[in-house]
Amino acid sequence: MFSFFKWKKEKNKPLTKQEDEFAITIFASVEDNIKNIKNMFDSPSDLVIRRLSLGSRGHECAFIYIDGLVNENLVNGLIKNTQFKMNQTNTIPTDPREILVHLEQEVLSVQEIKKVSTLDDISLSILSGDTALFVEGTQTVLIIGSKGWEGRSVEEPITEALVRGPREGFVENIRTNTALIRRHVRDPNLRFETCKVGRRSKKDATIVYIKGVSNHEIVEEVKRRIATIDMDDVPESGFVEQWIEDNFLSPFPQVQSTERPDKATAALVQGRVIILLDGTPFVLIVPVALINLLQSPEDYYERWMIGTLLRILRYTAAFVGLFLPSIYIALVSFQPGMIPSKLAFSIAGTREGVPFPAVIEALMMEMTLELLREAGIRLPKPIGQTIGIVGGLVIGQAAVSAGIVSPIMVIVVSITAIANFALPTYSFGISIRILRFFMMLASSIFGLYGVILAYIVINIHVANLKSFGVPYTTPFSPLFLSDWKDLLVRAPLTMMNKRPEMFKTDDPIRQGKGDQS
Amino acid sequence: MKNFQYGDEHIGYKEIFFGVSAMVIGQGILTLPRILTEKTESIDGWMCIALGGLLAIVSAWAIAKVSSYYPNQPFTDYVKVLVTKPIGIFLIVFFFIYSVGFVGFEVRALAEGTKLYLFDRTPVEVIALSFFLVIIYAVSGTRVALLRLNLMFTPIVLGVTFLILLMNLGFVERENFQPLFVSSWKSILNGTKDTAFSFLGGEILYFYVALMRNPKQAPKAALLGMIMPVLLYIIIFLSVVGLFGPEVTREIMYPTVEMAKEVEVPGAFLERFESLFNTVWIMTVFNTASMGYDLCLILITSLIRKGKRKTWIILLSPFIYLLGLIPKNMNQVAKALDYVGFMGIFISFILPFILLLVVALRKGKNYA
Repeated sequence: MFSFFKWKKEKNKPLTKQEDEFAITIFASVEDNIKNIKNMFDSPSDLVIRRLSLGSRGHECAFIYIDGLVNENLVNGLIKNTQFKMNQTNTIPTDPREILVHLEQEVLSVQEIKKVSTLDDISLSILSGDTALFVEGTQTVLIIGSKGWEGRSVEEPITEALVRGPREGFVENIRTNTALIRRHVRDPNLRFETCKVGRRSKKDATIVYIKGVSNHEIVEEVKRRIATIDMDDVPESGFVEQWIEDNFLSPFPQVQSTERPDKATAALVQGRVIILLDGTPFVLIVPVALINLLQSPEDYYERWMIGTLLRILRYTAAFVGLFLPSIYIALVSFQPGMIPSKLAFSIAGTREGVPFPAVIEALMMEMTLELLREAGIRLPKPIGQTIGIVGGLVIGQAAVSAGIVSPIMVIVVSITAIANFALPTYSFGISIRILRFFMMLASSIFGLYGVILAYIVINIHVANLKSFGVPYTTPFSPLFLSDWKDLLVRAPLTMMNKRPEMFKTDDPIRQGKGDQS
Repeated sequence: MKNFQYGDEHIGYKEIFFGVSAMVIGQGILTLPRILTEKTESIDGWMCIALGGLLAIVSAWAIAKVSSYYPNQPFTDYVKVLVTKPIGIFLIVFFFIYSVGFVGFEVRALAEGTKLYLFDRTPVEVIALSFFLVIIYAVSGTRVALLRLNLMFTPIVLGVTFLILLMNLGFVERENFQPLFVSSWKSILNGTKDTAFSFLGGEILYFYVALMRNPKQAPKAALLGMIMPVLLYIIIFLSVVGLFGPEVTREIMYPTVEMAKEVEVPGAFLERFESLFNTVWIMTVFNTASMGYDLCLILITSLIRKGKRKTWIILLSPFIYLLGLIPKNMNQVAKALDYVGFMGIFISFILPFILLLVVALRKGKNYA
C-alpha cells in the first residue's frame, strides 16, 4: 500500500507542482491534515470539510467526508450533537488524547466508531463513505461509520424466478446481503471473512461458510485463491469467478452464481462456501459439480415426486439441448436406415427442394435463433416482443415456405431451444449451447460415430475438470451412491439424512432420523 | 491457477472394480460366440467361457494380491526387486511390446467393425485416426480421470447390452439349447484357450493398484471386477446361440452385433438397433484402448526416465497408429490380435502366479 503511494509520487514528480505532494504521515495540527488530505484527493468538489471549535476554549477539530457516500441525516445530526454537547459540558479535558476518548465514549452516539492512525486507513475509510474526525493536537483519528447511499431495495430476482419459494433476492449492498444470509442461518458457527479485493477499487469480498460443516481444506483453498486476486477493479463477481476458477479453457462453469439467498444458504448447509462481493447481487458458490447446475431450489420446495419428475425432465432437457440437432444431422445424412421407414419417407419428402445438406440447414437455423435470442436481450421490452414475433414468423413460416429449410428442422431447432431454456442455470445453458455446435460439427463429419466420439471427448474433459479440488463429475465418478438420492431422483426429505458426500464435509450428518417422537 | 490437489491421484475400490470390468469388456465378445461355436458342438461353449473366466478371476486376484504387497508401487518398481533387475527389465520391455500391439490392433479392429456397421465409403484409416486422436486426448489428462471415465461409460454400455438381451428374450428358441454336454473335452479346452483372449485385461491391476488409497481391498475388487464380465459373457453367449442356433452363429462375423439387429423397438421409433449398439460399444473399446495406452506410457517412462508424458505421447502415437494399419484386412487383424493375445496370456495368466510364488518364497526367507 505504501509502495503504491510512493510509486504515485515518483511518477507524478516531473509532472506536477510541489504543492500537490502529500505526506504519508498524520500531523498533530488539524490544518496541516486538512491540507494534506486536500492535496491527496486534489480538492474534489464532493469532499466536505466541516471545521468546528469545541467547548469554551475553542478546541479545533474537523469532520471530513465525501458527499453522496454518507448518510447525510446521520452526519448532520452528529455534527450538531457534537457541538451542542461539547458546549454544554464545562469540564473539557485539556489533553487532546483525553478529548478523543471523551468524544468517543460520551459524545458521538453512533453504531460504529474506530481509531486509526495511518493515512492509508483514513483515505480508504473516507472513500468508503465513513467520516473522519480530526482533533487538534493528536495524531489519532476517529473514523465514524456513516455509510449510506442510494441503493435498490430487496426485490424478487428476475433471472431466477420460482413459482414457490421466498421472493427476496440479493442486492448490490454487501451489508444487506450478509444480513439476508444471517436471517436464514442463525448459527454461531456461520463465518464471515472479509477482505479487500481490487488494487484501486478496494471492494469488500466476504467468504461465508459454516465452520465445522464445510470442509476446512476447501475453505482454506478459497481464501488462498481470493487472496491472490490482484487487479485494478473488480466490478462484478464474474471477475472473481474467472480469477479463481480451476480451468479457464473449459466451456463449463466451475463456480455457481445465484441471486437467491435461499439457494445460497442451502449451499452453505450442504457444506459449500459462498463468496459475496460488494456492488453486485450475484454471489458465488463453490465448489460446484455438474449436477448442481441442474438443480433448482424448487425441487426441494415441492413434494418429492414432483421434484423427481422435474429433475428427470431437466436431465432430458440437457440431453436434448446437447444432442438433438447433431443426432438429427447424423440420422438424416449418414444413417437414414435407422429412422423408421415411414418417418424416413416423410422426412425425405419435406426435405425435397431444400438445396442445402442437413448440417448447413441446421447451422443456419441455429445461428438465426442465437441472433434472435441475443437481440431479444438487448432491446427494450416493448420492441423485444416484436423481435420475438418477427423471429417466430421468420423461423416458423417464411423460411419453410421459401424452401430454405425443412419443417422438421424447424421442429428440431425449436425443441432444442426450448430445452435449453428449461435449464435452471444460465451459465450452464451457455456451455450446452457452445457444445451443441461442437457436436453438430462432429456429426456432420462422421455421423453417429462422430457424435459418440464428441461425447467421449466431452466426457474426458469433464472427468479431468475439478472445482476447488472436487471432481466435476461427482457423484457419478468418483461414485458416491448415497448422493444418488439427490441426483436423478430427489428422495423424500426425511430420507436425506446425510450431507452430500461429494463435498467431503467435516460434519456428515444433516438431520436426525426423525423417529424419536 | 494452480490446481488444488486434495483427494486426487488416489482411487478407491469402485474405480478398480469398474476399471477391470471395462478393460476386460472389449472387442472380444463381439466375435466370441462365433469362435466358440466353431470349436465346440451345440451350446457347450459356455463351459469354455466359465473355465476361461475362472482362470481369469483367479489370476486377476493373484495380480492384485502381488501388487497389494507393494502398496503405492507400480509393477515397474516392484518387479525389479522381486525378480532381479535384468529379468525385471526384460519383463517390462515384453509388457511394453504387448501393450503397444494391443492398443494398435484394438484401434484397428474397432475401425473395421465401425466401418462395417456405420460407414460404407469412409476409409478405415480416417476412422481409426479420429478414434485414436480421442484416445490421445484422454491419456493427455490425468490417470485418475482415465479411470473415472470407466465409471461413466461402463454403466451405459451394460445398460444398453442388457436392454438388448431383454428385448431378445422372447425370440430365444428352446431347441437351440439342446443337446447339452456333447462336445469332447479336447474341444472344450481348445475353446477355453480362445476365451482366454477375451478375458485379458487384468494386467491393469499391476499398475493401478498402486494408486489405491487402501490396497488391501484390491484383491476383492479385482475378483468382483472380473466376475462381472465373465457372467456377462456367459449370458451374451447363451442368448446369441439361443437366438440364432449354433449353425448360424458360426457363419456370422460379429454375432453379438447381429443380435442387436434382431431387436424391434416397440413403437418403432428406431430401426436398426445394431448401429446404436455399435455406437455405444465404441465407449467400452475406448476405455480399453485408452487404459492400454496409459500402460504403454507408464512402461516406457519407467524404462527411459527422460522426457515428459506429453513428449512420449507425441513420439509413440504415430508409431502405434501405423502399427495398427499394417494388417490388410479383418482376418489379419484378428491374427495379429491373437499373437498379441499370446503375450497377454503370459502376462495376465502365468506371470502373476510366478510372481506370487516368488513373493511367497521371499516372505518365507524374511521370516526364517
